[in-house]
Amino acid sequence: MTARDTVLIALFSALTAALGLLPPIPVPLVPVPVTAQTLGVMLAGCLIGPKRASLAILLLLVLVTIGLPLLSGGRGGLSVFFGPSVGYLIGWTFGAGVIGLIVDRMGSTLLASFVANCVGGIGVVYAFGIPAMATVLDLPLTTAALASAAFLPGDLIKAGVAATVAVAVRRAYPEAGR
Amino acid sequence: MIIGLYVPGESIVHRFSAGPKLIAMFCIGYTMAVVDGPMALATLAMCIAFVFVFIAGLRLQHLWTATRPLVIWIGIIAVAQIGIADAQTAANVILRLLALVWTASIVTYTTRLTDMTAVIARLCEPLRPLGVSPDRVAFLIALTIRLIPAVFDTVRGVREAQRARGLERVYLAGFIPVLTRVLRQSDDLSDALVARGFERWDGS
Repeated sequence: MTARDTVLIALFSALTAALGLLPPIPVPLVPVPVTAQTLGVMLAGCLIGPKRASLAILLLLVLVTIGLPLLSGGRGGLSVFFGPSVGYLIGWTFGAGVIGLIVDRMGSTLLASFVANCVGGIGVVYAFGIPAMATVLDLPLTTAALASAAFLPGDLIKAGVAATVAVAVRRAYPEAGR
Repeated sequence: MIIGLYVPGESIVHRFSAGPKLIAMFCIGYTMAVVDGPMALATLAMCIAFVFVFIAGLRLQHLWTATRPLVIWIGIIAVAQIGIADAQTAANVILRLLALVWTASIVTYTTRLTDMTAVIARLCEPLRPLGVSPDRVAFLIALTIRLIPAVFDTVRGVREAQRARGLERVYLAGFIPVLTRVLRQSDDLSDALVARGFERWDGS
């Protein structure tokens, strides 16, 4: 791992943590508060490639495990891995990687980035999050899926925002992906 | 700027080393997954709360901090479980969740960040053949902790610059300069690491 890989992994881990410190943004017609944290997951996937992006998110989870309150709402510590959101956190690691893979394959256009964010940042994350929530809360899968649907509008907005930002950042700073 | 969740103290739980504490946590967690019935689980949860407050010497305020993120979930469980199953199942799920989360919180609140980092580094030891160096993992953890306030400062700087130009609430426009700025800073940082021989350090 080069020095640049190391720094980028630490940087996007820190960025995702910093986004979690921002207050949630209320969005009209969306019942749950939209936090900026998953933007970090999507931006990492879009900008620094699959391997570094997954490692950046994994590193964030390690920081949370050792006792830093870096998840949105000031959550942190070992207890989050026993709670109902555990699957979403694990899903972030894989989701960021999938976003990176799709962007690598399809190019870093706005459409490709948006599709990647939807598949990796929503599809993959929910694929881990919903079954885990159903297990922890002892609910049928359909009920857990229904509960997650409340987050879907916010996540779609974030997929669009992250794609737009990523494309603009690549234009301003073409070396980002290297 | 970021403060860990560790609560300083002198209790017997604080003095236990991190490794055995984590093993104990997993054993208790496993027990809770097997135990069933509201009475048994309520007793377990009460025991954990007793350890939390009286043996680990933590405050009720910390117990509330640990419980607060679960409040909304407890509501969801109560509504959904009573709708699908019955009140007994709802009580089982809620009590088990509380007991598990309190157990994990005791470990987090009584273990220093440095001790936890050492455990993580030790857990990475078997991954050495795959190219993972425990010291590099520890370095990454330290670097990230240092970078979080730096990124936050950049966010604040960009926000002030935009406010000075009359932009007040533009979330989207703020992200782009923040990212280009931190990416540029990261180039300087990696140059600094290379200049200090980072790429030739095998991490041992």
